[in-house]
Amino acid sequence: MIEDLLYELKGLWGENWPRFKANKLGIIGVVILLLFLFFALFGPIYLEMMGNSYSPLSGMDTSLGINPETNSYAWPPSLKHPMGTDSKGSDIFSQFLNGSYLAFLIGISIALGSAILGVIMGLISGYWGGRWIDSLIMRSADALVSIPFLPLLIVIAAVVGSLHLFTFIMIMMVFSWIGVCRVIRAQTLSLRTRPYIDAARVAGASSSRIIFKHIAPNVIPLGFYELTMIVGAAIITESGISFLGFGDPTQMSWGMMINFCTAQGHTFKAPWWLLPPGFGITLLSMAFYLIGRAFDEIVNPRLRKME
Amino acid sequence: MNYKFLIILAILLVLALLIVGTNISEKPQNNYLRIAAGQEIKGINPFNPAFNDAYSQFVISNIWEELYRYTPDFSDNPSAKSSSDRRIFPWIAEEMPSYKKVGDKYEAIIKLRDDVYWWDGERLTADDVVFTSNLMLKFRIPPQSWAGWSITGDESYVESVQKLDDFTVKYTLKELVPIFETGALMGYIFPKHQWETIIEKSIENHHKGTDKISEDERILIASEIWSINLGKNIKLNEIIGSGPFKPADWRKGEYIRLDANKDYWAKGRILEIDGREYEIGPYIDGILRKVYRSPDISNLAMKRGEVDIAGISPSDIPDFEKFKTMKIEDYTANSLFYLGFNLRRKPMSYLSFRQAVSYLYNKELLNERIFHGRLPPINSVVPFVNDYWHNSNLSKYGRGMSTAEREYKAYTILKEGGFKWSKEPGFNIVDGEATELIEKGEGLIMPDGKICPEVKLMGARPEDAPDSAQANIMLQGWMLDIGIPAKYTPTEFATAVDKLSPIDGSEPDFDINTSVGWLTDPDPGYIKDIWHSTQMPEVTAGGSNYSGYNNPEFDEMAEESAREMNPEERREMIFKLQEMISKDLPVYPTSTVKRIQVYRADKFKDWFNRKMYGIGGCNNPYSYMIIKPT
Amino acid sequence: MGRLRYPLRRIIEGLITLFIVMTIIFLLFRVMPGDPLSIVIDPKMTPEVKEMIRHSYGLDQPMFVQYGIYLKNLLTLNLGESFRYSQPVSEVLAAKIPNTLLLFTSASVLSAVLGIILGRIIAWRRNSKLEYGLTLAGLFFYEMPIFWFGLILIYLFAFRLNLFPISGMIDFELWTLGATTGEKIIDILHHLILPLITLTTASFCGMMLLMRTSMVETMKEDYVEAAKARGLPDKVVRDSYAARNAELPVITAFILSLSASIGGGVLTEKIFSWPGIGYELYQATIGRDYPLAQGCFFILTLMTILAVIVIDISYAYLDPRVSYD
Repeated sequence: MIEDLLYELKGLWGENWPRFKANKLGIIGVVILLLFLFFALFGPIYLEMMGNSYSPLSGMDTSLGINPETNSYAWPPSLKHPMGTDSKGSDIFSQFLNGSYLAFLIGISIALGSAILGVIMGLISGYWGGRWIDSLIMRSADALVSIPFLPLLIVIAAVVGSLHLFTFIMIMMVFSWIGVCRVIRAQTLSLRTRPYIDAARVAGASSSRIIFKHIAPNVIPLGFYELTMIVGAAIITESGISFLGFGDPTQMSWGMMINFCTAQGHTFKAPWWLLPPGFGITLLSMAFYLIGRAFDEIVNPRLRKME
Repeated sequence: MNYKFLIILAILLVLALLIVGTNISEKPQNNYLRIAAGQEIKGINPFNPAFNDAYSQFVISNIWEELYRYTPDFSDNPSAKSSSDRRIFPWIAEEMPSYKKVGDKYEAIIKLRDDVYWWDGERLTADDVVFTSNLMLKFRIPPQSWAGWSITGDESYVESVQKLDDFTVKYTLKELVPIFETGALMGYIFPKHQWETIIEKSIENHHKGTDKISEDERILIASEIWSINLGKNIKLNEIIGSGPFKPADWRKGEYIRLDANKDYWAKGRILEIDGREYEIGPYIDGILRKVYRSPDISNLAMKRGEVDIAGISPSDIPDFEKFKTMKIEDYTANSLFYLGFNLRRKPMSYLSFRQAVSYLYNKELLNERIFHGRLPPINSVVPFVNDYWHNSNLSKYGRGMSTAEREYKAYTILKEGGFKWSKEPGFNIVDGEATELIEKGEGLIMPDGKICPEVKLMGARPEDAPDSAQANIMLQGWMLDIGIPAKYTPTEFATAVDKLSPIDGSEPDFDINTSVGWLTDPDPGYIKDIWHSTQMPEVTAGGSNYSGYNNPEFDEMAEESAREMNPEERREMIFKLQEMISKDLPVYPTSTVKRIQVYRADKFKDWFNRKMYGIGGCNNPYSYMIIKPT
Repeated sequence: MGRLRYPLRRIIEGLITLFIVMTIIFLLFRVMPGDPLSIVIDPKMTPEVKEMIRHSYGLDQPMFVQYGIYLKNLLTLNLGESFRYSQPVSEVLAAKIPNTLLLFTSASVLSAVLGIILGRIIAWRRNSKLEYGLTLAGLFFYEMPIFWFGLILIYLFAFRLNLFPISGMIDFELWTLGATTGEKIIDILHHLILPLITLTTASFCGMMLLMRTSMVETMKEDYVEAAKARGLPDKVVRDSYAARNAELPVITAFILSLSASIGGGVLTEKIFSWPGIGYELYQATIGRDYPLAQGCFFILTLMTILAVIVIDISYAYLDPRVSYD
């Protein structure tokens, strides 16, 4: 069944890639994404290579003196430190690389987790679910959407001290599946009554076969756009929480970099410290959005007919 | 559906903003001293134990005044020769107290000044002093001052207070102790004519029957008094004090404005500070304390002239040196930060473990790299700024050693203490000195043969104390290097206090505490109040001996020192107490706080930079009394 | 009758949602570490007295009784007393809500207008350089962490150019030392500009892209084609035929963005020290002022739910294409 699904998806890829290539904004997104993917993969190797003094958390360059401009160990970019150093003499480039790695880790795991949750919930709600289960799922989705998310995270952070990275990812998953679920449900509902599904059912196909062979391949691409939005939202939310100081201080994420920069009073004097993490967050989430949008224009029938 | 409405709204908005952008009104000229503050004050009810923080006291100390104070510059007062602390001088009192032994008791006679007036024109007399002292003796309010009235914690050493005449008060003491002068006589005096009716009403509400007020009734009355909301239940302009500044306007979380008391009783009195004489004012119109949440924003406000004095970080000094109108000064506060070990738990119960961690904690490096000089290292629980009581001959635990040397030393101590590893840390050793850690240690095994459990570093959250969070990350790194399974767990301050000293009197729940420190008194009596074995939270609910330090020798010496009136003899004992803590390491003192302030020298002159005053430096009550607009 | 049934159903559903959310919040605040009364209770009190104080706050009751009291209090908008302000929570909130509404309503209006205008332009000129440029630029601002952008704007406009105040909503000095109402209004507007620019720049893009999509869709409709075929000028077709019908989803998004931005306003309000609900929530949480934090959360949730209901209902009435059973 899974092979069926993969086969169908592969077909979808071959059919749509040429169309995607024509979408300029989508291509820009892919280029940015690949760049950061390189950073994220290259990061651990680089850090391993450079040794303890380049460790993003506790490393410091002991050979540095005080920079009279900032009156701290924060030095602007140099050959040794391509993005400069922070106020304690830590390499910002290593922190930035580590941040890209964390951003992918956070974004992708949350997107995958909520995709799985969302698809399952959506299919249950739309195909298997009776009226009761369907409305139970949709009502709890409504409730989740109505909770102001960032304030809730702040409150939870206050409960647990600070949000451990794993806790953060789990909470984000619980709140992110709704979009995917709704799309999947709506499509499933409309597909369910299509003649060819009826035909399959009459021919004696089992429910799961119908779902994986006939419904899922048609529905999953539609959720992709939602997923890319989730990745962006996850990265931005993490940075916001870290910036407020509720993040996981033992992980040097981009948000934590901005937090440290502000907390050390370097916001207005060390642009090389403040700017990279912000650009990282912006560009990476933008890349995901661009790709998702390009993809959506191709697979979403409502938009496709406009070509 | 039409969006014309939106467009019209938007256009109006933009127009309004354009008008405003080009028409910034000039601010009225005035001589208010504008202070950039990093934190709001909690409240100004002097009876509320929650308002004992330095920020609230900042306002409270300008409203009510004490019988005696420490001299502004902590120099010796010649007339205090026979006192337990020579740095005391009379404020509302006329002269130093005189003592007489009567039977097995002592009598202390306090003469009051006859020129002290409350804001409403009433005279401050012996009645007010007796009333205030009785508040303490009967109701223990304000509760945070009780420590100054009692050695044992329950009973007060003061038996009774009596008015001899309008300006003379007699205290009858069961025993004569130093804390009488530095504690009881240094509490605020409150106006009887404002508080007596309030308290009588509260007694009426809670006291049933005619017999003595019971302990539970006392608490209900006390908590009713401290929940009175000054500013609402009693309006700001109805508050009666005697100090140089009156509260005038308060937007919680944003600002508080104090107006100068133009009829201040001490006006014209001469104050000697650092050998120079100053005439007391106040000369300014008042104080406007504005709250800025981030250091960057407060720096900007200073540069743009929106405030006259601000605290800055050492790394901001060059920025402000460029301003000719500003002056930069620093002072060291009497703060005490430390690593607190929970002696009830393994592995913290092993002295070798505590020593090892102390060696690992490179406070010099942290002060240089992370705190940028803000947290100078200390070795004693009496910060060095308190020079009379500070013992400077204590172990420095590895000062001058490099990180690798420290790690090697810690490893050696642990090994000698019987600790084992499944994989020992590896060092590169040149001429007997460790130069580098080559391999991290793993699988620490305690002397009892058990695997060392995870050691939690309970530290402040990055939001509350960003520097301290980074220091915890560093310590965690060093401990992990030699194989101690350390984990930094950020904990919100109030939660940390709950864990250190659970209010239900259960055993504290922490491994190593880095989050909660102390703002120490000038009087070293706090050593006993914190580390005496009866102060363990499981013995006395809310006690401050979080570590569970229990050393009979220490207890005995601490009690003796609390009764010693001769400053020289007492000093010897206080030195020994500091030594014991340094050896036994229930806590490892790490740092005190150095603060840097920048102020507008062109707008106000005659600033006085006071050391050892909590949030102070130039922000101290004496400064406000004597600075003059230029 | 049938027209009334749908709104009624939505309102009931909204109430159920509110109930669920408030239950979650109740549980959340009960598992917070530390005693919620630790600020009020003196450690030196005897156990009996602590019990008495606990009783006066209703904390000695069984959980479900507490829960009942909690729900009853919410219904009567009795949100308790704030520890920090020593003042009823509802009073504190009443003072903060207008501040939040002022900032976020004006920002939403501005970004909606900007979004609609730009969206119309780029929809009309699909696949032009202008579209790519505007979309990329808009998206860049849209995906920016707003606190970071705010810091940069403060640096540029308040620090370097010295044009605007750095933080807050009023100039304390001006207010406390007496100012006329006119001066006060100007002062507030002056403080409003920078956060407003930040919010508008950061959020117009969402509106713009929505308007574009919606417009592209309507442009395919027969009546627009017909208008074109009749030879009407482009501008007329665009503005009077296509745009008018494309606005519906944008207006919806506008209401939704209002409620969403209020919830997400914690960061903006924090950066600019804007004394609104979000900032209050942040501070109450940090200062363990549970009643206040709970109250802020309640209001934010209420606003979100209301907005969603309003949208759903107006949609049902206004858009004939949407039908609900």
